[in-house]
Amino acid sequence: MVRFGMVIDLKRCVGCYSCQIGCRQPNFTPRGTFWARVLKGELGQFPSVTRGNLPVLCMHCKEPPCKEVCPTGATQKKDNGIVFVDSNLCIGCKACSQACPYGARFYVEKWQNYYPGQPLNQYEEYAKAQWDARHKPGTNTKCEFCSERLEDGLQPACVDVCPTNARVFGDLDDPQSEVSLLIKTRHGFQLNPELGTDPSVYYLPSR
Amino acid sequence: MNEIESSQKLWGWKIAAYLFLAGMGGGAYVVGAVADYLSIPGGVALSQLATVVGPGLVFVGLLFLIADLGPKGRAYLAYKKPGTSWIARGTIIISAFMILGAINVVGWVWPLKGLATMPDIRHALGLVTCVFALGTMVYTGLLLGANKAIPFWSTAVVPLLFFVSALSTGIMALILILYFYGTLLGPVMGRQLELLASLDLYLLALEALVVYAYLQVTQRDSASRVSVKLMLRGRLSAEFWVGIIVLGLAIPLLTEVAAALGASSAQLLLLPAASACGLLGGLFLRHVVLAAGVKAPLEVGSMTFSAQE
Repeated sequence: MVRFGMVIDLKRCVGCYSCQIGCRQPNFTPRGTFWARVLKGELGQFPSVTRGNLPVLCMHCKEPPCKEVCPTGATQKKDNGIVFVDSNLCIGCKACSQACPYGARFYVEKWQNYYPGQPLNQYEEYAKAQWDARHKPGTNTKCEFCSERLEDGLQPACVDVCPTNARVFGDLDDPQSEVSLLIKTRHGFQLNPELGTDPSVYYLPSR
Repeated sequence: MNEIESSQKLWGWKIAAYLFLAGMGGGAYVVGAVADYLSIPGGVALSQLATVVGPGLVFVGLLFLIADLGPKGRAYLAYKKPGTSWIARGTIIISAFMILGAINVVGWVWPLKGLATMPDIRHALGLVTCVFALGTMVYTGLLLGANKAIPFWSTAVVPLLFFVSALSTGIMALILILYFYGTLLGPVMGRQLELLASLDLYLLALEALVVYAYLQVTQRDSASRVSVKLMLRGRLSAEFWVGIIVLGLAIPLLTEVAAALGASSAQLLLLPAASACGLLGGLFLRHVVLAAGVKAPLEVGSMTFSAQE
């Protein structure tokens, strides 16, 4: 059985936000909604300060707390490990957003254009139509590992646009896959494992 | 970490109003049912009042909850996953409470009065309804308490706090209504108000202790320390100190102590005003607990990243 997962190499990540923006193209997410994000961290005190980048997206947890708290069963998990929302069942209670430790769930009341106060341009009109065809207003949305691209034999958009090749996508259940080997040989780790979510996104240490 | 940006914004005043009204409604019902069961003077009339007011308040609260949802037409789907979801469990608990409450009202208050002459059946029905009323008072706290991502909520103190506040606000709601519709009880009204006020006195004292305990247990974790700071000294400090401590605890507590020491008529007149303050405090309490929710930071080595959207 395939279990999709991702490895993000923090040694390669330069924090350029390409993944955050690249995610927009296939998914048409509205203003303020970023299924992929780059978080910035700081350590130490001036003058000896380190800055760090942490790209995050839905971790497609093996034990997803968002699915646990969903009262209607709108949040589901496919056999391939991808966690998704059935927009026809979601009632917009936002419990999943509160339960997700990674901030990967986005409640969208309605599609918002990128330039507030201006009329939609032709690209925005297209994006809005695409979004509205996939998501009901007032429902929760999230990264689905670009399921539609996977069906076309492509990789998730954030993997393709990463200029430093910091992201690798593959099958965690195959011990010979690149993701499995990277996790094994480069000390891959999960974010906040003490929460018991068992994420399918792993990170490689920055040093 | 930027405090202003880092606390959750998804559940605001509408959800706070829902938590407040649902708790108060459950609390009012339980107090009334116990008064009837113990056959205190005027207990039957008080219980009838609470039977109408309790489920009524929960119903109004439910309207606030539904107003906060996305597609409101399919809100009824929220019962489907009680195996893991506290919202689904709550939906079932609240539905049962309102259905049983409606049966109580129809059979006892209006239009039928049959239960008035059948105290045993009435008490049995009241007991079953009480189970769901207690569930309504507590589950909201358990819902927040089960959220590991937000350490400020993820403690057993939250359901305890909500429970004590629900009972206390339920009593204060009854005091207010009794004051305006006191003729319901006739000559025993003064005695009833005194009784309710002295019971509320203990509850408020307990609530103050629980608030203190809450501040203590939430010191353990760095993310919930951010929440405490927001509450005591940050953006939510006015709501906490004025709304919860002064309006919600100090004013009703002092008034009830005064009433207990010598229940003159002047003091009885102050009780409804103090109860109104206490109710506002209950609303602020829910809002502050919600608004101070901050996600635990994501940790990479010794560097931390805020995951709050």
